[in-house]
Amino acid sequence: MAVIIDRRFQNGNKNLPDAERFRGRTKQHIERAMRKIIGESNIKDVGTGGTTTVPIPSDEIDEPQFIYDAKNPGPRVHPGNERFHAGDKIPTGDQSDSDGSGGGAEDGIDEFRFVVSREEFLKLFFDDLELPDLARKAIGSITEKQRERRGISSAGPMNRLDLTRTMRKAIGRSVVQGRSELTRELAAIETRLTQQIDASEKTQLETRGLEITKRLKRIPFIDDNDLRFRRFEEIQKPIAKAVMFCLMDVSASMDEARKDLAKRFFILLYLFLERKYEKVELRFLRHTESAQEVDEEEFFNGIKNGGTVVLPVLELTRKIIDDHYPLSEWNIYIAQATDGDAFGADPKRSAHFILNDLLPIVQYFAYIETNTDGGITELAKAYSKLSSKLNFAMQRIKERGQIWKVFRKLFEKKVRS
Amino acid sequence: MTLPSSGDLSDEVIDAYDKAICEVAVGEFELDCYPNQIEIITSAQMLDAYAATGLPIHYPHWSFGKEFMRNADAYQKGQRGLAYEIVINTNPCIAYLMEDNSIPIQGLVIAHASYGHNSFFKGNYLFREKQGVPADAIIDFLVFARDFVKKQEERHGIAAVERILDSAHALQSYGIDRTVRPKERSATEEEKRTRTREENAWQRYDDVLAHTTKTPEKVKTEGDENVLNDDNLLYFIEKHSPKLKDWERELVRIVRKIGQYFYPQGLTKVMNEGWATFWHYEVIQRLHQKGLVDDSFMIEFLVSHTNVTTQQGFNRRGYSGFNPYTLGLDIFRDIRRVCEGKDPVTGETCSRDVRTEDERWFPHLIGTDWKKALNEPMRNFKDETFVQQFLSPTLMRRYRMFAVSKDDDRAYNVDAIHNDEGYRSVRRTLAGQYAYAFYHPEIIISGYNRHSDRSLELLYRSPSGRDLDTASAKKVLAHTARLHGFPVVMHCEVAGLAKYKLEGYPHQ
Repeated sequence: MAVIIDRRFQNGNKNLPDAERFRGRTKQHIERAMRKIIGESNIKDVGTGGTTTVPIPSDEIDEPQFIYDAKNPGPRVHPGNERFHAGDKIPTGDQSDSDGSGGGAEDGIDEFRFVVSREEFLKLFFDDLELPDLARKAIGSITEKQRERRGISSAGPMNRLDLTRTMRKAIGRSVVQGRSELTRELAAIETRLTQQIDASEKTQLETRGLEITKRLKRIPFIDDNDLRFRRFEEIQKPIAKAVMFCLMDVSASMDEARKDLAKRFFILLYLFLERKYEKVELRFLRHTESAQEVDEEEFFNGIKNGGTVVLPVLELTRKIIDDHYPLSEWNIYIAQATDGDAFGADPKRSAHFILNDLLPIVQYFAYIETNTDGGITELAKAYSKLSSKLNFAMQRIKERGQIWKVFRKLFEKKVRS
Repeated sequence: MTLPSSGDLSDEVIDAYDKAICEVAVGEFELDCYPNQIEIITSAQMLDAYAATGLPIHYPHWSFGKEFMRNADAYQKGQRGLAYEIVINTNPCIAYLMEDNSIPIQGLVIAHASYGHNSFFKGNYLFREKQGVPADAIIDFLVFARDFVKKQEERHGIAAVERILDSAHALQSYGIDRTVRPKERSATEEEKRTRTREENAWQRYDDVLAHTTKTPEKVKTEGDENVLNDDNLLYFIEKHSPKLKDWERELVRIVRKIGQYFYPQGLTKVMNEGWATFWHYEVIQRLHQKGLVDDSFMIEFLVSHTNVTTQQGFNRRGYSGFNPYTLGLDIFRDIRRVCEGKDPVTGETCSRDVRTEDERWFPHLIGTDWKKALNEPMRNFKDETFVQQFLSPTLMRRYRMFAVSKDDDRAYNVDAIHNDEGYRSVRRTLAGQYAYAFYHPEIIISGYNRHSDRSLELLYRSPSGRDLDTASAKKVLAHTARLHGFPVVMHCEVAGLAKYKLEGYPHQ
């Protein structure tokens, strides 16, 4: 009869390596698509869509064949004639009578649309980026309990039964207790009984047989002592905690376009962190001439206007760090976006503050200038004095298309020396 | 004892169904089958199988990845249901059951694939003739192919291997021998052969040497009839390309062999699916008659059967040509109708007029044993000849078939419809649609300038005036030149157009 094989528990996804190769070929298209999405879609939609469609032009993944020109499909038969006679002409472009889809069997070169879930997309997208210098800071309360496998125990709940070990013990014990020997003997007796034997031997064998059966009944198949269970222990594991401060300038000089650039940058950052780091907290601060902390909703969607003073927001940041994020436990990251339109003593004082009060305690400070005009701003000049610091980085974004590139530059995986 | 029509899929359930179906399909209906191997797989694994056109084992290549993603995508979007069945021509016959499907569907799949398709693969001449890799040897060959490709990737890098495979794939439809019968080779024999080939690589090195040394193969020279007019481009490249290294040649051969293996499948889609559908229907009906499956089973079966055999009219949404399941099933049923003089499904006797028509069109079928009458085409025909021989006016009327052609961009000509004047023409046109050349332009080797610039010359001729898609043709020529190592020129002679040339160069 038929041989039936259950392959469900075999390693599925034989195709994973091939799918990976395909993705490798199309990576640049994915990047291009991401650039487009960041740059062009509604801020609300970036990162909230369930799936993303990445169209790939056929060149990369082309599988050309010798085929006929689609203009002349050859003589064909179709079903469902309602009113045609031999000799009629059907004008092309006449939709109701048009030639179906040109017959099903002929495959033209189709454009490939690569649809990924948001998850996959972000994974592909952020694959080679990381938060720099994510140091592990481990003391006391910032550990968390994790369960790890630690050997075998002879007691436990049934769902943790280790069947292999249990059976090994059971078989070992039954060997010692003579189960297999006795079974063999019993089988021999039974065979002998089917043969021609005299009455005395018969009764002898039958008694012995009964004895053996009684003995066997007393040897359990599995004994409580045979049971073995997998054992787990709870271990304290240190985790790295990080907090990212997002500082955005919402003053009057930040017109819609600039605010848009900043927002898009922060969304990218937000997606990145949410995707990659489970335990990263985000704090949103915005400022005009004064600073305030807001929630995510307000940060991305709220409307505010005013003058520009940078220092207050930096001071506020410091205050929050001092109040809520002990340095022994937290890795601190700051990203600031403004259009650089600060003036007077502000730029110098801000740079000074960053140098003395922020840089020493943060892992990384990223400054994004959404400057659509060109020219070096006062703020940029002041900040440029900090550019020698290893944990400070400055980038300018002039237009949407650059957001992605800049982001990558800031968060490229650094080769560890 | 009724078979279970719901519940979990288990070995026992499958075995029970298989036994019952076998009893009917083989015991009563006398279908001749290879031994069966039924595999239960997850939907993820079904997607895997789909991507690799049903091959249980395949060499790694990104095109399988693309196919996988395309299908996974469509499946997730609900656009396409995964096939109920994938079955390929192997001995033993391997059929996949997807675990997500219900029990009645699994029963249907077993009847359809493990007995319907199975008997077709065993009986049809295109599969019986050992033109390519026969059913017994295909798995071994695929194992060899996969391991060989992986080894070359390790040795020479993925990019170098992809280069060759990509180009060979472009010519996969042009690597077919229609008459050669090579010996069967097992995986170990393949390895031996490759080693020997590598050991004898020096023999291939120099054309001069080839003249003076005894080589196992005949060297085909200019003017030698064997190489000219041959349409097996991959074979030519494999044997004669001056620049391919041995391992590259072997890759080309692998692609060629697999193409050859699938070649019959393309030519018999209508017959194969029609045969399997015809018999799955008969088998399940018989099981019901015997009380082995209950009414709820039948309802689910009929819904699925109807879905699979839907056919839209040309101007309806969802039309995409003739559904091979429907057409094949209907032609087989029609043959039976002609033999018995009554409708095979309703039992209704055919009218006088229809009877007279049948007598005129199929005199050799009237009154004969319908089972024998079905077997004859199953064994000896392919789609093209099947349609040409057996498509009846009854069916042409039922489908309201009409034939169109396109002379210019502005309009289609209706050449014939389903009436006395048009039947033969409609039938001939539809049969033509199942010819290999209808989808694959006929291209032959017209010259190989071995003693001058080593360029390869190809010829495409179309007396009917069907031009090539020159954009793709150029790409394929570039691939061809890459494999050949020297320029490739294609002369195109299309009726109604001026002659023209297309060219491909190795370093495009």
